[in-house]
Amino acid sequence: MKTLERMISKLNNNINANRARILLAFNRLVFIFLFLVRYSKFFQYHSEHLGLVLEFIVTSGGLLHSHGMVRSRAAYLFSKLVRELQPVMPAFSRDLLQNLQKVLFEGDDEFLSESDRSFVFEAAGYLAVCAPVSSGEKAQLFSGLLGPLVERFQIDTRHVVETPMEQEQQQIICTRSSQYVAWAGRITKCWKGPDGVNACSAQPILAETLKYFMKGLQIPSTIEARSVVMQSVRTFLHRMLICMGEDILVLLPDALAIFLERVEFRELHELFPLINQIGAKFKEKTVPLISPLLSQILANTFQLIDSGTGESEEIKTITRDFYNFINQSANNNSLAIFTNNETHIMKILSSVEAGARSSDPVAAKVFFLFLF
Amino acid sequence: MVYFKLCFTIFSKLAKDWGQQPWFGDIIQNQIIPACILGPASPNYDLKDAQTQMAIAESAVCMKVLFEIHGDGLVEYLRNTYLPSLSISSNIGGEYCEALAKKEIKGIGHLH
Repeated sequence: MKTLERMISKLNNNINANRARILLAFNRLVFIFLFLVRYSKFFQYHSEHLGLVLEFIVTSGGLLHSHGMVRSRAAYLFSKLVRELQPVMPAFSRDLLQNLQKVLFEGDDEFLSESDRSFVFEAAGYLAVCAPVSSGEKAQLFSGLLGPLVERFQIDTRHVVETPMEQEQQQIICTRSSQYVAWAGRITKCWKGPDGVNACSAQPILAETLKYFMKGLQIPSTIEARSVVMQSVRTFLHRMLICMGEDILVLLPDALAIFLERVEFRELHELFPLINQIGAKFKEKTVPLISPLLSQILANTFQLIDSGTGESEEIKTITRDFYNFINQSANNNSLAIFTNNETHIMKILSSVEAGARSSDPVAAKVFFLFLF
Repeated sequence: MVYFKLCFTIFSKLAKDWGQQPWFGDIIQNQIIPACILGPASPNYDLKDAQTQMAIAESAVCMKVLFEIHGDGLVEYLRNTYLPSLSISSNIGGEYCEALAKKEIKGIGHLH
């Protein structure tokens, strides 16, 4: 371990050395990070040495290093280290979370790119989960992580709606807003299901966060860049379906209705997996949720299918999505979605019959799966 | 194998939910049987393609399941009404019906 301390000390000296040696120091830094992560198991049995290493990574040796390349590499490796050493992390979690504030919430893309910062947010989530505090205090830690993102999201989305500006500017703000949502999603990666969330008393915080993010869906369709925000909220909903229990059901109808407002290939193509995930999770309970939306789902689907030739890849994809949706509904004991809408049933059956005769064998196979 | 299992799982649900409803009989006659018989015969089906062959196998499963629900009634309908309406000779039609009633899925698949 003395070797490690010497290496770190030497690297610290190198960083301050003359410019010609800096590149060498960067390479050595990256090398030592890789080395530490590769042999991370060592710290599971000798966690007394871990504090020094972690402090080095989260401060000027890594995440706050003056060179972007080092910060970027440190972000990924730090996240990996935290995930792999979670059993020994409780002793360091609170201090680390405090030290990470600057990295999480300050600086621009130059300081840390969107994806690099995602790694740090993910690590922060894991640190909050394993913090040696009560579940109420863990909830506060999560509130401290999610709160600033929600606040900034609200400011940005309000700004883009209320202030006249160029399309380019709208795009920048919407992209930034979507990053806040994406980072919030990364924080929740530490949970594999509602039990983990409940252990941190974080269910109300997640519900609140989702409600605020969903307000972003109200950005008028005249703002072209809103699709970026919608996409990020949809991805966040996928995460929330994993993390939250039935509390999420009341929040879904409004969100789904907004996603169905526009008849657009990509919107619909990305919506079907969300609907299927809802069905897979809540089974029959999905029926009252999806039934009222079926007319709109069918209208959008058939409008797209009828809008071009059957040879178009987009039409084939949507057709296949549609058959998968029906097939999944059968798997999830949710066929009442269709029987509750008898006016549509013949249209649906004719469509799947056509699918069985189509030139798309995958769609044809799904057709037969659906029928029986 | 996974897909066969899935077929029967979905079938059970459909039979429970829709099988007893009067309108479903018409669907079987007018849409499902024609799709199972005529679909694989359509020029869109490339019989050399592996995925197409899987789709055809599924259509055979579909017909076998219909037989399990409707039994001899289905065979009679196919032999006396539906297959003759397609100008399929009574020999071939009979062979198909016999396979449907007596053979396992693999035995029917090659007739599709």
